Amino acid sequence: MSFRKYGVLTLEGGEDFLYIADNNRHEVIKTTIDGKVVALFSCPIGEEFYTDKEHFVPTETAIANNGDVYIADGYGSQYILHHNAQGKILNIFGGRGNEDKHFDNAHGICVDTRSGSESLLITDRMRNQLKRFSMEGDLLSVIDLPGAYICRPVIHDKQVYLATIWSGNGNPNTGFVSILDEHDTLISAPGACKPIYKNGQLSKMYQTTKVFHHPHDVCVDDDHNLYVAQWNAGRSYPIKMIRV
Amino acid sequence: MRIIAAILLLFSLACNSQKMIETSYLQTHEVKLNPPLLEVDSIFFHNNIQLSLNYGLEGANIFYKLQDAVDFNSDRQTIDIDQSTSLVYFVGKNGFITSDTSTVQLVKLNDMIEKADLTIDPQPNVKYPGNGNATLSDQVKGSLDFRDGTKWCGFDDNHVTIDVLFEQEITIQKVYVSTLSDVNSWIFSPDKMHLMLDGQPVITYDCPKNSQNETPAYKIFPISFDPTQCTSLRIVIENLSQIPDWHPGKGLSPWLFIDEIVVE
Repeated sequence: MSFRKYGVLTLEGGEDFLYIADNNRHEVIKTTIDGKVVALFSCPIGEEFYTDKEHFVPTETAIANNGDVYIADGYGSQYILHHNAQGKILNIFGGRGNEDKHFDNAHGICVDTRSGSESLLITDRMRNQLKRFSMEGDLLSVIDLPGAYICRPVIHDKQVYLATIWSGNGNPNTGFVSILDEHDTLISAPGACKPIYKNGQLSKMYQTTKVFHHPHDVCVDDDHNLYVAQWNAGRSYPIKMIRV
Repeated sequence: MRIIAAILLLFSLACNSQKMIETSYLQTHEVKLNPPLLEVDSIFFHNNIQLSLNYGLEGANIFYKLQDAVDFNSDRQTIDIDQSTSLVYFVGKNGFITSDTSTVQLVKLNDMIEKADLTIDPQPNVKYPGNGNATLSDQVKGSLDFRDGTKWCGFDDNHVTIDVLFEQEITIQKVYVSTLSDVNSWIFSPDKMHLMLDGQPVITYDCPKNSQNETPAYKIFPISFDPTQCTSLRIVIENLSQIPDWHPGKGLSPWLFIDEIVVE
């Protein structure tokens, strides 16, 4: 039996907590660092958005400074569920559709505080876009990253790091790592072609060197070294990339 | 931002009673390159077409050649084509492992099939009907997504027969059968194709087998024979009898997807 669980570690009131998005249980589980369950965020069945829990397949969670919890239903109905710290739903936005505010695989979400105020960065993986929303769920901007199937945004200092599971036309084993600066410009793409902008538009990204198979998450340490965890990569260890 | 330019693979090894960390850097000579990016509006074209090969890695050299050429070129990345041909290409860079070679078949369209009467027997599976008979003569290439609207006909039958009745007697010497290969979606190349002109067997074509780890790709089979006058063409496609042992669906029936027939 296999389970897909995507976790986020947060520090709340001096204590670490894990928010584990469980694809099979269709819920997000908040635990202490030693595994004690302290809260469950389940599918809001009965609301207008969900008729059964099978359509709620969360992939990631982001926690705002006030403790509000945002859950990306990236393998389910593509909604972003906004809860307060007590678990009460305050808002649901996104969902499937053709407008910019909609998603096709809202795989990852994080809170961006680099500008001094909070906003949400959410990946729209199959559309090769990173989308910025207000904390109230209003779409603020769309960052086009053609050819980059981005999984989860990770902010470290001024950069956003994104494990990119596929590239080009989405063929298997074509992943790389995307790195954006504070102006939302793709400045580096280890494993892929050099990012080229023409008239402000990024040219389609594609893998050049076969270093990665399917990057699925990136961790950045205090010295800016990267640790790239992969899905479907022959059960290999994460790849560490050292800063030079 | 400082650039990340080195890659380190960590291997944890138990050494004596204490755990030691042994590190080794991935070397460029261990890194294989991907083939260049081919940019082309459509691999089916009417009069002529321009294509380009790109590779965004400094110091890399793109090599290519057209169908019957002996030597590879590396002088330019933009190529003009006005006849059906195949393009073979790869990329190399000093110190890296050269990429695999890629081949793409480029097909110049004409109106011979468009004006003909084409029928398929049996009709495609109800899940992937395309646009029925018209799909194979509409000269519209499907994308690599087998669910691409009405552009692909999907079959799970042992044999598929395509009959073409031309408007008038014509001379033909090549037939292209355009198929899709997507082994992860259980879509395989057929086993064989038998061609008949005016009821007479002309050639049996053995299709190259799919390989493991193959990515979704167009498989356009160019079937050549001596120029022959005819008014009808029959193509009997033998589907692969079962999915190969290396696949999770081994032993079961594969899917066959076709989007176009082109005659020259």
